[in-house]
Amino acid sequence: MSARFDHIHLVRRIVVYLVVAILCSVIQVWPGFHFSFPMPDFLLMLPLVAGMTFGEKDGLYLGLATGFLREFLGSHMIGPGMLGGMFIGLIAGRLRAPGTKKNLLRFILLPLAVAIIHRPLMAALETVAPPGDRPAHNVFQALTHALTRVPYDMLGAMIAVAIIRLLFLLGFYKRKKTRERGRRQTVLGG
Amino acid sequence: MNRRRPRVILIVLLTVLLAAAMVITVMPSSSRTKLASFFGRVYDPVADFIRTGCRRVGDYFGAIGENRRLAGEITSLQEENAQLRQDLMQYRRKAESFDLLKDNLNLKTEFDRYTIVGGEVLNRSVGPMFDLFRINLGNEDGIMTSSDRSYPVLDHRRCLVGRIQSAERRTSRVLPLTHEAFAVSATIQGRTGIPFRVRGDLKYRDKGLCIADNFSPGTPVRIGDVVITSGAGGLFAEGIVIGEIIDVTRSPETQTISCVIKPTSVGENLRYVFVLTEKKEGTDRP
Repeated sequence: MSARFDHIHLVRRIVVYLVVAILCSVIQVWPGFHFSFPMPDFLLMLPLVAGMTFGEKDGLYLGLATGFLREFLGSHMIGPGMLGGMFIGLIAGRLRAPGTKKNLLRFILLPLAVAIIHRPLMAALETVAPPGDRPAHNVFQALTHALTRVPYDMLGAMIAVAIIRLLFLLGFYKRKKTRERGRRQTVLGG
Repeated sequence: MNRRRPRVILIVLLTVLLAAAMVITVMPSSSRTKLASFFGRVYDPVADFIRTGCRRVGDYFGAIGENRRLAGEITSLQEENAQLRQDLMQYRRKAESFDLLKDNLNLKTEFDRYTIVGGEVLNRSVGPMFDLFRINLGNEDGIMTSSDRSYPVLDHRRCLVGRIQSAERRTSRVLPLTHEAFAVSATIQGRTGIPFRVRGDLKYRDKGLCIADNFSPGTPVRIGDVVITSGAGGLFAEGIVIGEIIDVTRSPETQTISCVIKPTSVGENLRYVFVLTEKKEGTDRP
């Protein structure tokens, strides 16, 4: 599945990542903009898709970048988002198996796994370091609440992966060379 | 393949560094705001460019669609315009008279002690743990936060939205009213009483509601009562509308009351906000 992207130049990858990351961040946090379906977390799924497509290094660096972006946009501290993004990208890259059916299966299962783990993990972390002066709630209450939101997150994750994958396909679209096209026309024309 | 695999030492190093950053930046008055200020100078214009572009494209197509409908309304609007101009002139005269009366009688009006600074919501919350939203007002607009200093944030109807959590040079992060780390001293509008606490609650956050507790025994509370800030504590001005009581729970064993409040502010649909900053003596600017 991902073999078609294997020879894309580094600069082009960086440019596409940059454009997609900024676009996703702007759409995701658009003020007053509501989704009628579960909100896709693009910035969380971006390193995952990059890792599954290009490998661990891309996943790691993009995870750090999108993690920082998440923290810049809506967190009271720096670290957990970047750490989370980094490991999501790394694991996605490690599980990558280009051009096999396994890869397709992992493309479906990994976002679901991330959606299941992410919210409860962040909820637990928030009880340790709340944005106010006082501890806001206990861990058990936070985890119970987080788990009720997991099905929506799973659906949102699948939507996000599909949209990011589409953006990657557009960004890394490779036109067939004129010579190849000409040769094919000659063959077809006899 | 190995070329694309990062070294283990790099991963360990990054993990340690980020864990350290997490500990450092969670502390009050950390250097997190400086880093965010610096990054904001690059990110905000780019994001703003995309937003403006999208809005313009949307406006363009919207304008084409509405062009025909608008043509029919022009005539009626012209008549209305003439009427409004006449009203405006009358209101101007009334406003001048009111200012004169206010100065002569030395009247104090709502939020007179404060300067109201208007701003735009830059982005809403991202998700769990990343649930603050950003506005385009910062240190340059007189917003200087510290561990014991913050500012109330209101919407266009002067209803409470939240408070400033941290401020950078040109932007600030707002902790919303429904967030479980938010708490404010409140009272019921139109009734003198001992203040109680209004706070966000994890259970109600997704529904856009908050709760009121810490009532003194015998406090009369009814569904439909409007809750306002009491002014106790000094952080929030007195009389800012918080919301309306939609449910009251009385515990017979502990004799305690708790209420569910529906905030009057527009919540996630918010586009513009107003921050109340304390006015410096003898100036109109904060």
